[in-house]
Amino acid sequence: MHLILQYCLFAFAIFILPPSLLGLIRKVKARLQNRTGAPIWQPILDLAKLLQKRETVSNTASWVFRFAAATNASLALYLAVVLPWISPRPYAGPCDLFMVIYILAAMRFFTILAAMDTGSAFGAFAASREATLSFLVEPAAVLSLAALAIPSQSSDLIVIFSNSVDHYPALWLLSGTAFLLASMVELSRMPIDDPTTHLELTMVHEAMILEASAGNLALFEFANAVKLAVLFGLTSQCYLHALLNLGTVSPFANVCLSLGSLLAVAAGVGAFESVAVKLYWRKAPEFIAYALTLALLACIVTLGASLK
Amino acid sequence: MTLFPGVLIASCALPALLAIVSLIRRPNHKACAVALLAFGIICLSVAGSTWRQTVLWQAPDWLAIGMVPVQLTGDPLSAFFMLLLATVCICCAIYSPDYLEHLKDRISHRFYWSALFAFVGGMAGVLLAGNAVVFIVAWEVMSIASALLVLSDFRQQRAQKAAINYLVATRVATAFISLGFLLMYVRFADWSFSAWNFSDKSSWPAAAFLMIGFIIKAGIWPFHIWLPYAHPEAPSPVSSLMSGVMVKVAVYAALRFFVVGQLSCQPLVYAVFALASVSAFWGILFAINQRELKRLLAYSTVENIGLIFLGLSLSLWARNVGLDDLACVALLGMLLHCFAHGLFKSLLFLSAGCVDYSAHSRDLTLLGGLSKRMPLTTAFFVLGSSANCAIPPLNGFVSKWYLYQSLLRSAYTLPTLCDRAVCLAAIGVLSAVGALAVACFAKAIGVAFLGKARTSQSGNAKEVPPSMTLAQLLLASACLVTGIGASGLLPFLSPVLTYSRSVVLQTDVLASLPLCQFAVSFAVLMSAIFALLLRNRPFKYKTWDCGFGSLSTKTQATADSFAQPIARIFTPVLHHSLTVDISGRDRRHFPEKISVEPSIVSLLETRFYGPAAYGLGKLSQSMAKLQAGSIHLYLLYVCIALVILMLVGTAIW
Repeated sequence: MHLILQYCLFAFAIFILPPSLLGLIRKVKARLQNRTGAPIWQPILDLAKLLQKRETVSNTASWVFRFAAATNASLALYLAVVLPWISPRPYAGPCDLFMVIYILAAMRFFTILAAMDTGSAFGAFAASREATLSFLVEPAAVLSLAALAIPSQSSDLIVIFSNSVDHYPALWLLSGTAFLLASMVELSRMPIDDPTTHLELTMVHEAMILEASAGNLALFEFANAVKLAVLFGLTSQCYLHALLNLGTVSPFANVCLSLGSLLAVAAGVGAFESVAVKLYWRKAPEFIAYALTLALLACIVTLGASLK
Repeated sequence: MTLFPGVLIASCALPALLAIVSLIRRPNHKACAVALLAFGIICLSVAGSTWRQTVLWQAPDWLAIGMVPVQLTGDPLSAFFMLLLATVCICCAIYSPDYLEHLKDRISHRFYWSALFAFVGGMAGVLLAGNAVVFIVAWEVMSIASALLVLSDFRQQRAQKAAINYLVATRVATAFISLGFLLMYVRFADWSFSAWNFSDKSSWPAAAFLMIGFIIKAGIWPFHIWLPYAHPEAPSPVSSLMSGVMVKVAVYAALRFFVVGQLSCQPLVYAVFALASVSAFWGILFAINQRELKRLLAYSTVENIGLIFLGLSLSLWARNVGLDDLACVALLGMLLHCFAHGLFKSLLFLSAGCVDYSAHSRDLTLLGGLSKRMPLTTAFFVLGSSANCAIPPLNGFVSKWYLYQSLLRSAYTLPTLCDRAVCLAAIGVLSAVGALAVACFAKAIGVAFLGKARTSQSGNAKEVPPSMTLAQLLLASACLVTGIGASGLLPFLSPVLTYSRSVVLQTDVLASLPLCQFAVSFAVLMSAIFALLLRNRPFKYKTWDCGFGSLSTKTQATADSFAQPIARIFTPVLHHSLTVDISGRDRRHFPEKISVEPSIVSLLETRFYGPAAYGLGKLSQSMAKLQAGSIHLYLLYVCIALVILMLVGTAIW
């Protein structure tokens, strides 16, 4: 009985929560701009609508195009099952840090291929930008997680996130923030890319999936929503570790805390996005430098702690 | 038991015989391919028979080079590399007959096949050499034969230039290696490798010379500049043998001398670690800026060799500070990466050869749209690229994961803070290299295989004949199997590790890497998505063009435009610049001519090697004046030399 409840909750967390988080960010932005905004569940309705439409594919596209969409969605779901991003998780197997990084790389690889498959100039523009951004942000993402791995002496994220013995709040805070900034770039969120704009020349993620439609588009959108939930979920777990020692918290409180902090991170990102402006493309490396600096600081903290 | 030395001898003697036969008689492609296949199978049996034991063969006294009798040794370490050689040889043998058809008037059969047999025989000889003299002879055969193969298409000026560069590099490498061998002989008074070790200070100079020789041959920065020119010029099977196996032979030599021979010279290890990190980054940075498919792959080889030497030096480093477990993880990562890179880079070179075969070009600016014409080749190239980008569950990921794992472990086990910080920084470098590799291969696939065809040649390309597909299929499935089945195959590596004086690895290291489970769940999810959501045939329509209706092949991204943002970030290193020319009467609204020409400069070549070669040329010109052809001058030289010799002689007596 308990197990069934857990599975139901987890299915909810995978399929309903990610689009709702997108809805929440949009709602926060709308409220801060004095608009009513669409309901929080609007992205779910959008996905349902997309699934009912008939798909259109470019004449130029080959098998790579649809394969890429399916790959993205499958890999995102896999990540959502194995990563410790939210508290009630029925899956208890290992989840390696480097494997996660390279699964994210695989998602990016196939999205870029899909963008170039249609022979569209916009898609290729965006693909080239995405490749550049990812190369700049990858060290920050990896180093912020590697810094966390050192006190636990393991690259298994489950071990890292359940380690309550070596408790360094400063490390969790630095790594969490570095990872948050890195994932905002990875997810093509605001200061780097504006997900609401539709000017093809300035977009990154949206231009890459410009040719996708109906089921295909739904897969890409859903994969992106899941990726957002998972990466923000990891950040919120980092912040929770910074605030309190999670080893001492009861399971039920843990569920509430993890959900609450995830919603708080999403709302915070929404608030940030309504005051931030999209950066000029050449300024993007400067923003990413913040993420990298924080990650390096986390490394210094963790190396200092490891020598003790 | 008497069979074993027989296979060792056969694997060296057969190619020698074949090389001579194919030089005398005009060879037929099919017959030669069968011979190569037979050679591959013999190598396979050598690997099988020496996998767990050492087999020695000492030639009778009459068969000697100089005063040193020929000695062949097969041991677990050479068996591991023989397995790689055998796999790639077999695939190349299947691939070659059809592939060579399209080169028929550009290469000479006799020349090509005899050089190829000498080349593979030389590699087998290096792997099985039991003493330094056999080693250097086999090494020379391998180097010269491969230089001849680079020159296969000898009418091309590019090939001539590449062959000259390559020959210079191999000459320098051989000089350093010979010097190292002589020093070792002086030290141990024995040519046999089993007598040598590098654990005390007196053999460090020899170790440094040998290391320089091997990293020149392997193509580590700053000695890599020959590699991206030489590898692409050869026909594709040779490129895949060179990139897939030959550079690994240099790695094998480094393993044989420094890991088995227990190098303890820490400064040398630090230097190799630094050079390896630089070459990983440098290689991929130049790879992404290439326009030629095979040159892009060759630069990516520089990157991968950098990763391999990173693992090698980390392993030595860890052993020198007494961390045997860590040394073993690093060594395992490095061995796996040798094998993985051998497989996927051979696959990629063979696929690039298919592109050349069907579309008659390797230039990315002339390709495009091949994925519809050649879906199988595209699929193989995507798979090989994914392995190179370390995408799980392929073999490239497993090996890279071990490298990451060893770096992460050293970041909390090495003794000093500085060492730990260096290893943590190397993780950052490795991740940036990984992201650049994704960008690089996405570009290669996107420009060469996807989108619209840029020329009619690539628009009319046809899928390659079945034999070429089969060769790619074999390599692709090897990449997949050694990736997914890594945890099952790993125990087979324990003889190699034990032989390399490493502790046997605890198998739980792999436990946190559920690749099999990942592969299964990925396959299930993919089929569910295709069955449920992408079931319907889509409606076909043209690509969105903003309503202008003018999308053409010219509006697609080119190789240069894709890499431009990255090249711009590295302007100080690459000297990236754009020359834009927009002209016409009404230049602003109706330009008649628009041209954009990007350029990058390899500073190492223009600032260092260029001036060095120029200075050397000047020097030899001025030396030539000494030999002006005047008999009077020569008589004077003879006289001066005589006087000096007499003076020196009297001083010594």
